[in-house]
Amino acid sequence: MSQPTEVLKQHLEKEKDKMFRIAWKMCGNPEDAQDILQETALKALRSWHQFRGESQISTWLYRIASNTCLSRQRKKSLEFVDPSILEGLPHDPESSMMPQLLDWSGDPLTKALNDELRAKLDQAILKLPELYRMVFIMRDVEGMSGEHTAKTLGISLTNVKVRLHRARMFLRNELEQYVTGFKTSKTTGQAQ
Amino acid sequence: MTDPTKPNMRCEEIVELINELLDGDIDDERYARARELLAQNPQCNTLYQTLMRTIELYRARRAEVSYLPTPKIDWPAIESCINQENAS
Repeated sequence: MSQPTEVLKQHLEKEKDKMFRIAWKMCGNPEDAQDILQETALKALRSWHQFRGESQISTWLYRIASNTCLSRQRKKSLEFVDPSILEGLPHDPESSMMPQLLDWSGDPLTKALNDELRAKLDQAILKLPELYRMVFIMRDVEGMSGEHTAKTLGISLTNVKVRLHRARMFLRNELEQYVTGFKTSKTTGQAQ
Repeated sequence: MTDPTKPNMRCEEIVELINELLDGDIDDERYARARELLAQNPQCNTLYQTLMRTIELYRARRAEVSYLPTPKIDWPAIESCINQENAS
């Protein structure tokens, strides 16, 4: 391979762990994440001659990876998530109401990861619409900057902030339901 | 200071400040304002604490994933694919 291609390979090798984790969280399984990583590398090599240096190489690579993730998710029509699940969340900036909230942040149920909580976290994130899930993973889980996330996904910084807030709220509410559901089932003796 | 537990209160400022706190991207003045707000309003504080815990749990889950075997890029397969495309 030519020397410029070697530069690209070095970048891909450097970023592959993070790309793999993002893809895993997006798809929910490591097998699909591995396929996405391989597909991303192939697409990047194919289109390397078109890279004009208008963004950082890593931003360009994450854009390819995120598009590959999203298109793969969209092909799986059965896994389509209805964006309306995010409507009417409390504390939406457009909302005018502040309902009562339960403080479960110190609850023993969420103190440490166990199999049940892991399953709940994984199920909840997969319920999010793809772009909201991607923004949450990039910003809050992987710690990418707002600007980098916006450039990678081709959306505005404002849009990143709005999606991030809604994703955070949705996941928070899912965990609240998990905690309250667990406590209710314990007091009533019903299985969840 | 308005009471966020009262209905019909606009949440925009509260939400914006809480998100800035969660992002760690907040200047001193707004940080002081956010802290004041959280100290005076239990519901805002609950929102902040539970959002923070949500993010912490997902980061903890990510840390577990990091211990798994390193993903691999199969370069020979990619090169072979590209060579085939170039040849045809």
